[in-house]
Amino acid sequence: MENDAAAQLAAITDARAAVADRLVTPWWYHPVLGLAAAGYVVGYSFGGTVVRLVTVVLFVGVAFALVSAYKRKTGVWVSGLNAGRASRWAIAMGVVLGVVAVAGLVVGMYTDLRWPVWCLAGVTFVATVLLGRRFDAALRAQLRAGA
Amino acid sequence: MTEPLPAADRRGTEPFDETIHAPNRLRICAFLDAMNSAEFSVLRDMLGVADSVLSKHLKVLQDAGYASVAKPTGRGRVKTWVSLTPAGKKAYARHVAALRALFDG
Repeated sequence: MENDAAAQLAAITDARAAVADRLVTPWWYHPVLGLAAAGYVVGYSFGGTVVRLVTVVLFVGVAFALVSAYKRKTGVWVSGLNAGRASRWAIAMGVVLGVVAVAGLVVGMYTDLRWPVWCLAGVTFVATVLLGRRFDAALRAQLRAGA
Repeated sequence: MTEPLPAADRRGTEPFDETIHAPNRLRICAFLDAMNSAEFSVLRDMLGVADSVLSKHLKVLQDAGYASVAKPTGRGRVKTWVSLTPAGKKAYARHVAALRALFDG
């Protein structure tokens, strides 16, 4: 019976390793997401109501297109919020984007300065790429760590 | 004549789930538990079985309420996506706990 349990646990480890092997995010995924998020920050900070609405629609459209492309390419999908301990990197990305979006909005509403918004857009791009790659690495390591 | 004890009582742990216990179905559940959903052909290639074999295993999991199948329409060929249901995730977690308890002695 113990041998059967050992064989089953080994099969589980193999299956999880197979998932890790499939989770190879295309190199362009996070840069495109970062550009879309940076564009969102700029549009939302500088634009009026219509521009803000268009910015939100564009960002959501790009995000959906990226998810669709990822699924088509890899044949699997793992939500950032459904990835165990690795989810903390996806949550960190969401927090950074939220803070940057609010900061950009405040700058756009209360000052005429443009450079802080461009800096925030740069932070958004870099944070999206770096945290996205950390999420991928953490998820693969977690899956390979065992059942 | 005495009834055989349930698996849980014999081992004093969570019971094995007979639906998940079959090797291919265990691998399907382990694969799907680590993600939201997977495409049919990815599961087939992972198991190294024919479409019909995978379909039979998925039917068993579906009938038990452990897996759901979706065929989203869109551009190109319709692909089948498979995911574990919340009940399937719970059953899989219980099964793995039983395996670990048995393995750890």
